[in-house]
Amino acid sequence: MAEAVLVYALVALAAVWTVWKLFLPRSFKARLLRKARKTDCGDGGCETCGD
Amino acid sequence: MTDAGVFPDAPNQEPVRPKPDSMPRVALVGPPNCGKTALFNALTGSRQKVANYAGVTVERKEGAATAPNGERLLIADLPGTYSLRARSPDEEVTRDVVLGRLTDAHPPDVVVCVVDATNLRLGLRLAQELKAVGRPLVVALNMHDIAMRQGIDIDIARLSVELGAPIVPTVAVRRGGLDALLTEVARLATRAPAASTWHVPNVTELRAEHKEADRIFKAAVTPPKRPDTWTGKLDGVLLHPVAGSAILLLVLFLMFQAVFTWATPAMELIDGGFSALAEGIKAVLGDGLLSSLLADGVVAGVGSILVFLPQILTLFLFIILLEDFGYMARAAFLMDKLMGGAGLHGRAFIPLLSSFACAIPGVMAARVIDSKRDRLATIMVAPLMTCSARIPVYTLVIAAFVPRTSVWGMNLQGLVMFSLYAAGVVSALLVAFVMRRLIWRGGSEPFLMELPAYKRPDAKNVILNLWLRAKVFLTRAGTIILSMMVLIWFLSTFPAPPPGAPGPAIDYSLAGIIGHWMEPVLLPIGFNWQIGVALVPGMAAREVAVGALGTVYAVAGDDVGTLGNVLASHWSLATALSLLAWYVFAPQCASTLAVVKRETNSWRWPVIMFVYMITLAYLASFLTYTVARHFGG
Repeated sequence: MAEAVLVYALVALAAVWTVWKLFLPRSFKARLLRKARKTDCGDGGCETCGD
Repeated sequence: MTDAGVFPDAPNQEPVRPKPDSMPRVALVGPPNCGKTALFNALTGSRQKVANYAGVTVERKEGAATAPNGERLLIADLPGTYSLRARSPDEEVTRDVVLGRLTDAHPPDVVVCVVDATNLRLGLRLAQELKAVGRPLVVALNMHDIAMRQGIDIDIARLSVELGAPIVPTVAVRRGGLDALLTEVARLATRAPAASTWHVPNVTELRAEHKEADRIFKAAVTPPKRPDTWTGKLDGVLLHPVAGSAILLLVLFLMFQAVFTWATPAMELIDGGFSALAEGIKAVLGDGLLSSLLADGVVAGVGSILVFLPQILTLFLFIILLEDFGYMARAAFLMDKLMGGAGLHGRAFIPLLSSFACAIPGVMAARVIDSKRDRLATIMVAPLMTCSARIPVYTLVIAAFVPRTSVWGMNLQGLVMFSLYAAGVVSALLVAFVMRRLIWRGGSEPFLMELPAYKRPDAKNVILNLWLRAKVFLTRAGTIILSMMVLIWFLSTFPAPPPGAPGPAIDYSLAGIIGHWMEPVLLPIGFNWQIGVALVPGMAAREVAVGALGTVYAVAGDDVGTLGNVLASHWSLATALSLLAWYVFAPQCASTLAVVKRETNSWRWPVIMFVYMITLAYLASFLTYTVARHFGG
């Protein structure tokens, strides 16, 4: 059972990795990564602050 | 005086993470092939490709360096240009950076004009133009050691006065003069730029500029007392229409012979290693899903591709040595008439040569071509040149089906490989010829090329370039190819066959279903369903097809030794030849199509490319298969 779960997890990981590397457009990935990155004050990009 | 005396020590050049907003910006500008990228690598610790011909750099590259006073500088390596009157897209990048026309980049605080000390006349006019731009200017007199060896006497103080800028002798490949250069750059970085007086010159101004450059050259440079006759004598043979062409063919022929003879021991070692690893995994984990995934999916798939690393490196060893020696530009000269006959611009040689490594840098290198239609014609045929991703497919099939015998003293396998490369070149010329007649009518612009000086290949550069090639190959094998092999294993293993199923388990898997579904289309060209399954992931990268075949046959339990042996027992000679013909034309590389879209700014050209290449591939395979079957293959 544990072996099957591990194998399925590895296959799922490979599928996600393949889709990410091959199929998602660069601009879309950049947008996703920008949203995911936590920004602190002074990092820039805040519309209200402008810094 | 030795070089070491002139350039006592190089600065500490650990790569520094750039902090774009706080560092002074330095632009390296100079004519093509004067050693800008070698200087950039030496200053920043980067590993950008350098070669002994013009047009290697087509993009702006940035890195950081630290001056002896501790100041950090942001260095930009720019494509080579003879003048700020840019004519091609790569030259426009340089012009726009220097003139501060780019919206996404600050203008440089200091411009370093890199000139080849052995060919100073060419750099002087550009240095004058850069002076007129008004930004603080330093002239790096690169390859100063070679100029001294050749007996060229350069009066540096006089040259500095004439140009109105400090001159620093450098030897980029040996990191000579870097401290002095960075000190000058750091000193000038605080100076405010003067107002620019540069404008696009008219014909009279151009003539005046040439005259002034000539005057400065004569005032500051004393030519060698005994001029170099060696280059002339060698060029007399290597550029001779008959002898030169025969030597070019011989060099290429020897290259492919070496690919099959030198690389064999290393390939056998890698193959043995992966076989032992697969057996070890099965012995430790026993039969089960995880064991099958690792042994049949990962090891059989990735291993069947990695085994070709020695052949790829042997081929690139030759290409890098020839580039460094200065022979590749001569090969371009020899090929110019042929390329011109096909309607390709002489400068297309650079992108087409780059495409032997990979079509992506080849397509990007087409930026060196001024005219849009010449550039498009080059982009459209660049993927027909045999890229390194095809090598695993070619060598696998050749090793399995072409006997390891000699014909008139020549290795037959090497001869077939040579023919496949020749087929790629010939088909590129033919397609260009047809396209220029159908789509882009009219003659090409004349081609002026500067032949670089012959140089002894630099061992460090050769090793670095080989390592870069190996890294690209290993990274692909460890990332995209690995993940795709896991997916192909999954598709070849699931769903499990129903109880009591008469056929092999893989026939009931998703891969088997997809493969059988494709079979009617592929049968006329002699492909079985396993090849069909391999062609689909081959869309990502051509070499994945080899790994996919390895996995599909491993999952099916065809254990008769190497993948080559498995193929030899399952395929006819006609099928093997048909697959080779397919891969001469096959458009299966999604990344190349994406780059074509980016470079042409339109989906039209990648779509046309895909359609024409897949049509040619199918027709070539059909013809090959039919003829081979007719002769009993």
